[in-house]
Amino acid sequence: MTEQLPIVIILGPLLAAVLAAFAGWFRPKLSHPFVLLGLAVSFAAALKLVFIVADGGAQKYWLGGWGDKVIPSQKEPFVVGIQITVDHLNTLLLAAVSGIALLTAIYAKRLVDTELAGRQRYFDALFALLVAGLLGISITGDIFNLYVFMEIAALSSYALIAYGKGRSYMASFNYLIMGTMGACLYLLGIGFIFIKGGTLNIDDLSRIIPTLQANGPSQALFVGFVLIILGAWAKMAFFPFHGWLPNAYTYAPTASASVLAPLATKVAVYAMLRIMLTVYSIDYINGLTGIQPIALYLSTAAIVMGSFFSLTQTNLKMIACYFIISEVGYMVGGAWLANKPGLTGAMYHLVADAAMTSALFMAIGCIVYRLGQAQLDDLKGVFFKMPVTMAAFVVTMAALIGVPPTCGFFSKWYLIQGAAQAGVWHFVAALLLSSLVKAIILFRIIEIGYNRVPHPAIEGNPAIPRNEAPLSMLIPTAAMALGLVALGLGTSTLVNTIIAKALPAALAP
Amino acid sequence: MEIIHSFTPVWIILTSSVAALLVALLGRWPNVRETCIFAAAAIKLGLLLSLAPAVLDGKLYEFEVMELLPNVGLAFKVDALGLLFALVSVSLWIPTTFFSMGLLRPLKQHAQTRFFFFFAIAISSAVGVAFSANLLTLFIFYEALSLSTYPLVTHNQDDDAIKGGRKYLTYLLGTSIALALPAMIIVYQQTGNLDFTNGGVFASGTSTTLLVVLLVMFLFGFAKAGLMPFHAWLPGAMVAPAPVSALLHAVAVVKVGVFSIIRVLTGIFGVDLLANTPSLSTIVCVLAGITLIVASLIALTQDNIKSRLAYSTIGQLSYIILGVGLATKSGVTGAALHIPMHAFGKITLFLCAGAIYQACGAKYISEIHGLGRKFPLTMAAFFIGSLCVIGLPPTGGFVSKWYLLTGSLDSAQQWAFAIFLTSSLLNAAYFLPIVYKAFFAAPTDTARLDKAKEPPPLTIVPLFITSASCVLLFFFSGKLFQFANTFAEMHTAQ
Repeated sequence: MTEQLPIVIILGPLLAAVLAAFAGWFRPKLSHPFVLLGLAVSFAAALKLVFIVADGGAQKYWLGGWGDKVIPSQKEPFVVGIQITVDHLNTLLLAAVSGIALLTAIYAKRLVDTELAGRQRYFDALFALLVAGLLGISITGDIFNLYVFMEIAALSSYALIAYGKGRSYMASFNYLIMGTMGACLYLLGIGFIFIKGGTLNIDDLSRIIPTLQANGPSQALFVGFVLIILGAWAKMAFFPFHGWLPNAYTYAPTASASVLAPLATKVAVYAMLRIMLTVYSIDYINGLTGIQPIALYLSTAAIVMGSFFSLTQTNLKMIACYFIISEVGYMVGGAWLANKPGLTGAMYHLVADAAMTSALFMAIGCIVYRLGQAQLDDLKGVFFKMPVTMAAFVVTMAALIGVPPTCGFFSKWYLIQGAAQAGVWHFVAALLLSSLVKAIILFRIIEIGYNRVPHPAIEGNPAIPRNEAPLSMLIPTAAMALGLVALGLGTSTLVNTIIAKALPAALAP
Repeated sequence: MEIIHSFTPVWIILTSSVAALLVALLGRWPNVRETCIFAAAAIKLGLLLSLAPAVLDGKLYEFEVMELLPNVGLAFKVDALGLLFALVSVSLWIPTTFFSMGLLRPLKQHAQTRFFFFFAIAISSAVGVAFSANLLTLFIFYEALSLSTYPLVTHNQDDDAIKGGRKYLTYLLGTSIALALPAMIIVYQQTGNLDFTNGGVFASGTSTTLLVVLLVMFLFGFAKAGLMPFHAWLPGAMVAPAPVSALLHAVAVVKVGVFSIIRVLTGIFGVDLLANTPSLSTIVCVLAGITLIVASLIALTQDNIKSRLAYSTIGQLSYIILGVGLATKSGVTGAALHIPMHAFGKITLFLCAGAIYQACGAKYISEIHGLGRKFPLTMAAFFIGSLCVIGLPPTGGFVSKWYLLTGSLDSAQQWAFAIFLTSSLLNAAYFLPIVYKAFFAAPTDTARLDKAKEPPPLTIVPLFITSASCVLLFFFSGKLFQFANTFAEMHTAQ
């Protein structure tokens, strides 16, 4: 029975999307339960697979049960079927994506009802479709299907963003241009690889590509690699392709942003890691002496730039968006350090940052739900109005700063260790700078939201009525914030049982 | 060396966290709330004392809660120095709580529950630092202490408090994240080990340049120790209510900084490495020596009582760092002894500053001219506290300074002897005039003179306890010496 689990992960949200759309015509109230059900099934399957993979190694699944036959007439043995793979590299991400999507679906209900009244069913269907796309990117064992899922996710996210008001159309359009460019570059890169390798299956490619380069480096493979990486960078809003992100996620409906922000960029980073580590190899990356330093400098630039702009913003959502841009720099930098601690940090941060960003956007969503907006000046007294939300917010910010024992501390630990080992000191400096900037922002918010208000407990000061977010939003937010601490405490377990085994064999001590 | 696996250290840390929770829950009933604190403090003190006999025998208590990173866990270890520091912090928690009640309640201060809550968390963190078995655990509690004391520093919530709080975090979080954290990661990357090990963790042959860079990063990274130029947060933090300045900024917080540096010097670098690498020892001694003298000179110029005390603290902390930097047995003994001696002296002075404010509303030294006779008990306590910090008999400060002076003569850094003596003279020059002028100068402000009166017993009793302790520590310094000596023997090859 468990051998069918991999496909269940995608089928859950995919069927939910279809059912939610159809149900919308007859019984609009049913569409949300369908989505919840689909995501719950998907999350359960993903969680079970984490344990299966930890114990038994990679799980490969052939769609329809065919295609893994070697074709005898071919010179090189290769496969024609559609493969999906759950291995040490993606199993945590699958669980994180489906889990966060499930919590967000519960959380977003109230937001959708107020912000998108009358259009809930479309939102529900698109939401499920987006998650199906993201899970597809994460699970596929085929670089072309990766492109297909990338487009599924992208198209649904354009629509989800354009559901907002005012500037959201323009923001979505910008994203569409940038996203399509990224997808085109990626597709072009696949073309190069397919011409040389003759297959799209990731496992086969990882076997074939070294043999193709046995007699010296192949120019076509190099061009393909660069195109794919550029495409992935555009999709993940890596500096200097980051311009679309802040507006898109700020002007999108809060419910859309709360699912897109944590997941979309992280999945693109995963796609990059998969291409770098599995399709190509760690030796190939380390051989790219021209590109590696550029990627690292760009990562530093992304972190510095993201930190700087987050300081200049006055809107909480904008600030969070620039955090995402600098966090992407963390992961790309960690990946391109291409040593053991650096990659461990990048892979760990993939999950940690998904959780942190999710918690951050959930807390901001709660604030927006009650206050109507999230300008810093509107936050006066917010700690008294929404104590639980703000407690979750503070924990989340502590994780982003990297205060132990939250998960953010440990990802930073590995990344800095990797950078120190490689002697890339500018990256170390950027990571530390980013922590400090986040600390400044947190305490700026504490000052506005708490210290600058006459304390209501003193006689004579105006009382500040409590106006906490509804429980259906508050519980997921608090759960996510606690999850950040739990994730941090579980670092050693995760790294030893899963992440260490996802590292390329060449890096084993 | 015998090791005892025991959960007791964790219980000791948790007692005040549990107290904090109870405080938060029982905030509506102040008497019940404060009873919880006293109960927790008593339990904590009892548990600490129960560890003392074995620790003085040279045994260690250890407990690892969980592994956080490969080979590095959330782990605790109780040795003589840690226990000594924990004992000092916790035993001073009791009089400070009395004092807080005396100060906050009559003024109908806001958010008293919040105050006591974070106070208890801060004590937990300080003891956590004292018991940390490795650098990562220490760092976790170090940061927890920075964050939990921020609400205490900004307690008054006015512009000054917010500004002081901002400075407080900028210095403490800034240095720990930008310097101590990367230094720690580099040590981990180089050695794969963050446990405090007698003799240090570095393999012989590690490049001296790297060691020097790491040493400087650690010295400045633990800015709670107030080494110049990262000292300005301490005078800034004096906007906090008097009990916070007293316990946290004379004892717990600043001593955590010094304690962290001692741990790094003895457990990560190793005293032998310091002694055998002249450049390392010299760096520590020079940085501490400069701070010592400059801080004392600045203290001379301060008219605000609490800032003068703050600068005095900065100087005294460097005594301890300098003592360890000497890398001799009596230097380390003196440094360890100076933790409790200075703690008792300085807390007396800070409590006096609070009591003086309560007695006549004065914050400046020039305001209390001639007022001493109105509150002689307070000023007498101030005098005894001053003696202890200056290092004159019959107070405990004399004992620790004695060992520090001996240590400087044994070491390669004999110039430190002159620094110690000069600084002691300066200490006398900035403390004794306060007492003299309070009693013998002509009153400048007659309106204040009429209003001034001895503060209520809830304020005076803690003063009496701490100042009496200063004297008792002189006569009964043997027990403390045992702690310091056990620690020093474990770390210096003789």
